[in-house]
Amino acid sequence: MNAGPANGALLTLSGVEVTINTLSGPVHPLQGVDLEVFPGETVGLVGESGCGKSMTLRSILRLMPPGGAITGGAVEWQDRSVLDLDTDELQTYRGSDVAMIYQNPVTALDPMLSVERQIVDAFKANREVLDGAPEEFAREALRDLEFGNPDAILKRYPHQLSGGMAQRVNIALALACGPSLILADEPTTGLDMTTQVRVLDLLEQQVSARNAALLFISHDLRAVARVARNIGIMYAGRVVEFGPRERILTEPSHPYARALLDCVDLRAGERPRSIPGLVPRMTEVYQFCAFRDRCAYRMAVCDEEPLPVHDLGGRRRLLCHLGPDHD
Amino acid sequence: MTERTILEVRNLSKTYRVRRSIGLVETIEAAQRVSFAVERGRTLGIVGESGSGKSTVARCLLGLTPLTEGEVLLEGTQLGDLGVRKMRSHRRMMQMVFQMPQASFDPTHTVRSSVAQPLRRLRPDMSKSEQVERLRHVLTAVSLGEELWDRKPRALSGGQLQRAAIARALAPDPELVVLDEPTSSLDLSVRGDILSLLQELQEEFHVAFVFISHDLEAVRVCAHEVIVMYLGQIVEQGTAEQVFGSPSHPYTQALMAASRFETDSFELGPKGETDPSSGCRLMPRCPLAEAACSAEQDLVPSGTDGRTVRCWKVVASG
Amino acid sequence: MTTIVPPRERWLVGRILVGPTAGITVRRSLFFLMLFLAVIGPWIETIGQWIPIPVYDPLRPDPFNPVSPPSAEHWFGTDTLGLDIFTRVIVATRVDFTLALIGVTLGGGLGCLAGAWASYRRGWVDVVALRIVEVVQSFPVLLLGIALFAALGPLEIFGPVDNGMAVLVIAISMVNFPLYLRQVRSVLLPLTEAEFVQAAKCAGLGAWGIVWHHFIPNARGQILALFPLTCAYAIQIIAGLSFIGLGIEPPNPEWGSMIKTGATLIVQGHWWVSVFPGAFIVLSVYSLTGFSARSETLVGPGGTSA
Repeated sequence: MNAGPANGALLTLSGVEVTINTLSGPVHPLQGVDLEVFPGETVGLVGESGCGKSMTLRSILRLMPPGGAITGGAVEWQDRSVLDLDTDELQTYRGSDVAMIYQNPVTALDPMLSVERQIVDAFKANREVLDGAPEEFAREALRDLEFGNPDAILKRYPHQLSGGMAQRVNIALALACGPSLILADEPTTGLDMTTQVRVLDLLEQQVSARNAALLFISHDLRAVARVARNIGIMYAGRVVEFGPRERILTEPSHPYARALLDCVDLRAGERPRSIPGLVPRMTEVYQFCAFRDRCAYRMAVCDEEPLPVHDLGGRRRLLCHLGPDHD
Repeated sequence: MTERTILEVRNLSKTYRVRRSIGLVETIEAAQRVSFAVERGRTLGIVGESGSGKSTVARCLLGLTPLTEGEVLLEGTQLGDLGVRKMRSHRRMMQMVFQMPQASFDPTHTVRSSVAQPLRRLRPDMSKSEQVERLRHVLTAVSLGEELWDRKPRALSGGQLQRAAIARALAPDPELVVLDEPTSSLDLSVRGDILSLLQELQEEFHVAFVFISHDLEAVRVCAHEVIVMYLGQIVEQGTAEQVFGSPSHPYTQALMAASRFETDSFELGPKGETDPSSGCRLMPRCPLAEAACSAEQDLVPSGTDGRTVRCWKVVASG
Repeated sequence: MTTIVPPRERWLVGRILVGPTAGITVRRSLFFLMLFLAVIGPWIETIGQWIPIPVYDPLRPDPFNPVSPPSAEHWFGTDTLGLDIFTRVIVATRVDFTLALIGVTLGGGLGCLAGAWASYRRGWVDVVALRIVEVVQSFPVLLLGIALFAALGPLEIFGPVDNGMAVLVIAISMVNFPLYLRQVRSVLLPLTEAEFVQAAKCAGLGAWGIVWHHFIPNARGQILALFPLTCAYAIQIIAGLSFIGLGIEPPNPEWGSMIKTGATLIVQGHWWVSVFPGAFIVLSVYSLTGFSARSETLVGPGGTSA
């Protein structure tokens, strides 16, 4: 099952575990994440806050919080192990292979530098040979992101941009390095609904125009559904279900995925639905299914045996005792 | 104004003065002649994008910021006329729930002491034991586990804290609670919880809500009446069934589409850099705009069902 | 649902004394030793009768024994008047600690309130507060002390034995006021717009209520971290002013004035007259720094939770 260059995956996470030592004891935010991203595809990860979505992105970049370390599993970029890269290699990997777009678009930009400086610097840093002036590239980059008057925007500073504009600048910055994979951490969560859709669409367009892959995480299944072709559902530090968008949105197999889907749809006149119980605090490594306390389908086997991994073919994967074909 | 009206807002306007650079002061009209009324035990939803003025209206209602013009009448008494002391006694009638549950609790206080604060301050008429009884009542009503009452805010999840915030708002027995984006910073998996809790509490405490959100679906679940705001103006006003069932203003239609992540049917242009000084404010973004839109638009009744719309095209087509 | 409570000493004494590192524990123990000396100071002669440690009247000269080196009778030697340096160094602990504490508490307390008020009110209140801070801070500390002594003379607030102590306290307060004001203001400024402050307004709290119930507690960690450091700084100021002849005058025991007595003797090889009081200043400052590191873990927002 261990992927690698053989199956052509761009990025492979297999059984990634992360432990963070805090003042109040160890926390285990990732407890065996399996995920593959192929060249040029868009993958989305959905889950509640605290499920390990952001930590998954951080483990891909090897950016651990203080006291945190990747304690198990493997992160592979094409045929190389990311965990074995030395400092120089890591820098190239972070800069030109993988780029990141953050949740808060305004603080992700340096407040002291103009938009032009930041984009030009990104071009200079990551492309050694540029034919033409970097300023021209910057202008072109902004035009790609549908800025009507790029020249005016280039002169501005981050605080003079609206959230949507700042996030588009961030996308331009991420793309400037010509990465093969873009990681996006809730890139539209703070934006207006009307802006959200626009930024999502632009992100998807630009990524696919450059043949790059996109790994997109959000707590909002609707946002993920808008951009991602394959969707993974995360719970308690594991990807509990993975599959094509149509499948996940119409007939998900995992009870948690079903519950999440129910929460998204509010129907007028009906009692709004939610998932009872709390997200686990990740202070222990869960031996059995971590969702069983909140699960409507809990069975005896859930308390007795560790989670089985059902590989269903066609990129579909499910971690649940129920199996894929319950009612 | 009827017997059942608890809050009435007449022509509320708020302008901020922003210093752009030395000598250059810009005025921003955050709310422009906004009028509405809320009835006892009912919910008014206010929807709009950021910058639409919905939070400004909330802050003006609560007296957290002074209004530039207009009147806010609470049970027929105008708030602006009240002195500081009188204002405090009116605070009891109107409470607020904020967007960020973590930020709306002092990290150094326990949940219990934060929830008790409005009781101690605003209900001097209650005896100590009545206050303790009331505190227990509201905290139980929002079903916040008793083991959490004496914890500091950071030990609670966002959903739990938002329950505590609702308890805090209900504690002094207000007539009206302003909910400023109460579910926006929560996971979708707890949004439903909070929404159904609010509906239950409205039954139990017979309190009116002003529910402010950019999440149309959440407002649709809770609200009886709805106003849609754009750049400080009300653009559509009516009952929830009218506004959400058959949105008539182009802006409402666009918001509806965007909230379902479907914009292909109706998409607004990008958010403008500068607002038009006259005429329809939505004009630069509106796909239906034409020359006649640059005339001043009024909020006028459309059709016979009592809803009002600020768009001459909608009104003309009936 | 499980929460992990950080390991913590059960007893308050243990919580205060045992620091995160051995070095801090040493410094804290040293501080409590100094505090003990400060408390017993005035009764040292009486205590000396019961235990075999050679102590004397700190003010009675011994004309037959001037400038004698450290010995079994005089552990730290004697000065030009034949006064026992060991006794005087211990008695001086009380003077230096007390004045530092009063001065810092007074100036720091006012600074905290002013800082909290300025960050709550903003606008012109904030501007005025900052101008005051700038004016006070633009004077070098010693110059400020000299100016105060010149302007006020020896105030006799503490009775006939005042000896310039009141002016010292005022000087220390004036130095500490802006330090605390700035620190508190920088912590609280971002809180002015915080939603819990607005929630408190909705709960009917007035400006002072918010400052007292919400602002001061939120700056508590910072204030507590600053307090030991400023006390150490205050001790240096007291010693410094006394050294240049302002404040406590000889023969009253005070570390700064004792160093001054010995300053001219050092070149003659009589090092003990200055070195021992100097060492005590260093030790007291060193012991106080044991509390600044992570003192927020003692009573921070999380300190009393769980």
